[in-house]
Amino acid sequence: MDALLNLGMGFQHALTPEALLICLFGVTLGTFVGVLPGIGALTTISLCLPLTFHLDPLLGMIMLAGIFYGGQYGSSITSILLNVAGSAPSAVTCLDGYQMTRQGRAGVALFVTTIASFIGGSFAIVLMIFFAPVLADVAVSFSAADYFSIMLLALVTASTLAVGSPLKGLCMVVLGLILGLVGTDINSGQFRYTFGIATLADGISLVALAMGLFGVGEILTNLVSGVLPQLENTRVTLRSMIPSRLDMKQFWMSCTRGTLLGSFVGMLPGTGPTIASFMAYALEKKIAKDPSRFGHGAIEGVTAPEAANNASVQAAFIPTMTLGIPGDAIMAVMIGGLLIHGITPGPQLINENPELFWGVVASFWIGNIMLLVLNLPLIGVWVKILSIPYKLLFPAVLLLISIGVYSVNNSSFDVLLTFVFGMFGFWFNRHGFPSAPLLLGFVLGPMLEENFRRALLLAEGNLGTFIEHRVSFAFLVITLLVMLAAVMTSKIFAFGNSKMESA
Amino acid sequence: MLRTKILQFLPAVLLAVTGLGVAALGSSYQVGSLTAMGPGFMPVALGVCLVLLGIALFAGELRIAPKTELGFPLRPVLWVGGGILAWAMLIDVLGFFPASIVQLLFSSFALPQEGWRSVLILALGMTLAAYILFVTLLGVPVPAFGS
Repeated sequence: MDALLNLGMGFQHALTPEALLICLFGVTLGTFVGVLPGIGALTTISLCLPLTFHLDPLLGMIMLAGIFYGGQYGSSITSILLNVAGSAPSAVTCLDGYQMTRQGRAGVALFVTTIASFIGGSFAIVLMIFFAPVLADVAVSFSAADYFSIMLLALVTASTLAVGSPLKGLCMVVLGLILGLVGTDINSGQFRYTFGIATLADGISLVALAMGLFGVGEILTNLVSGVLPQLENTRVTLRSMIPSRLDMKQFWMSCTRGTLLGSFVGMLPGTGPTIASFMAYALEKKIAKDPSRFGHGAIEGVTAPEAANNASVQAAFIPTMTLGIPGDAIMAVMIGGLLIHGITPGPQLINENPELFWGVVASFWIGNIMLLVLNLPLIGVWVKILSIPYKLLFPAVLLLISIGVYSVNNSSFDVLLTFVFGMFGFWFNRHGFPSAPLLLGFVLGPMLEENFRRALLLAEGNLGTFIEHRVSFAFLVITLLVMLAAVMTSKIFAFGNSKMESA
Repeated sequence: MLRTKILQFLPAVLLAVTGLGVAALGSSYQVGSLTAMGPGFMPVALGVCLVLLGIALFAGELRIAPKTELGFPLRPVLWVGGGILAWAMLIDVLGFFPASIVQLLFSSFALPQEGWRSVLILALGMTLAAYILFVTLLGVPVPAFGS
């Protein structure tokens, strides 16, 4: 019952006129950038990070979180209507969603997507309400060694389970950890890798790094990939959204499976919505009576991934808020936002800043209900936005990136860094190196070093301490299993590729 | 052929060399011991990690036939990159309007454009809108013109 009382208190903070307005702004902006191909939630959250400096921390978090889950709703619209992933997690929605559009069932696809997203998100919020306080209670007794091993799992999972080569992912994580070293060492005051540049004494700006890797990178990737497909003359009416009885039957089961899978995946450190939606799609295809329907407009191929991806987005807040360990790159940026306000997410957060924690949770409900309204009756507006030509859009976004990065520290050096990271990230991406693990490594780096140092200081240099602590031991075992699984699957993929090439 | 080969191994070599540099510089800070780590411990450890990963990557590439070259899309990279670079260089010297107009002009040419006129009008309009939003409304302290 405590949880419900606290939730009530959260609603008091989330239902103030300002909070409602900020939440509406966040989810609308999120949907907007989610719909637009070529600018994602991560870029937008980084852009808005400087805005939150002037806001109350709760309002800032409500806004950033709104952009995050609003973006998931928005990007599925683009996947279904244009066959272009508005953001990575929606890539699988294209497979069957766009086929439904071609069959004239765009309305139904959009309707079930929105409902599935809402159900997935809501379930994960309930999970957060009851599970997060319990986890926080347990986590209070975690030692430095335990934290180190959990972070290690997050880093290894994020780098090896991503699409592509696990080895390349690991390289990017280590590179991210190294970039995280730049600046003043908190224990000794020693400047590391600052090369005599005063600005670097405070470390590399998170916004500059994220904007370079993701903002500039996304735009370059789009420009290089050639002309973006144009929207066909699609009109989506409310009437066309009504699903048939058969649709609903297939909807409920797949939505439930997607929700459960997504919630589980979202809670694990290091896994994000992309992995959740891909896994959900694979699961549906595996257990379907007739797998050949997939790729030809199967409704389960839309509902399960969308439920999973929204569930995982909400569930990802559980480890982020209770352990202070972000699950993916977007969460890493949000933690950065909290840290700027002097709030360190961790087990104490729920007790020390209850209004922040419960206010954010309550705002999730409000935001998801707003999204329901934004996505169903107002769908026509978003379809119109899809017709903005990219030619006009991307120069504006690039200018926003320059100004956004500059405004964090009023530093043109940060903009220079964005340029460097943008070029570097794009070149590495073309060679198959993913950017997300680098960003996660960058944010976790200082925490990882701190806990590693503390653990060994307490154990007087005995490395066995990581095995002697039970929690730490368990996470190390899981880390090993993840690595093993990554090696196995990449072997299978490599084998498959060589077979295809020889054929 | 040689170019393709070099490009294939370049990331691995670059990472290993970076790792070496990181470790070397790191060892100039105080490394300390496992019990009492100095500021140099993590840098050296991570540098060595990167060298090892670079070598593993190199070895992996040896077993794969060189892929057909992706080709580097020079046009968008130059215009997009040049635009950001120009903004960073100009903002402290000439102020918001010149820097932003130059960046918008640069980035517009990453895609084929129909004519100068529309691009110029667009750049002016967007700069004005951005100035009102960021400087007037959000109070980013940057002069419209000059330093």
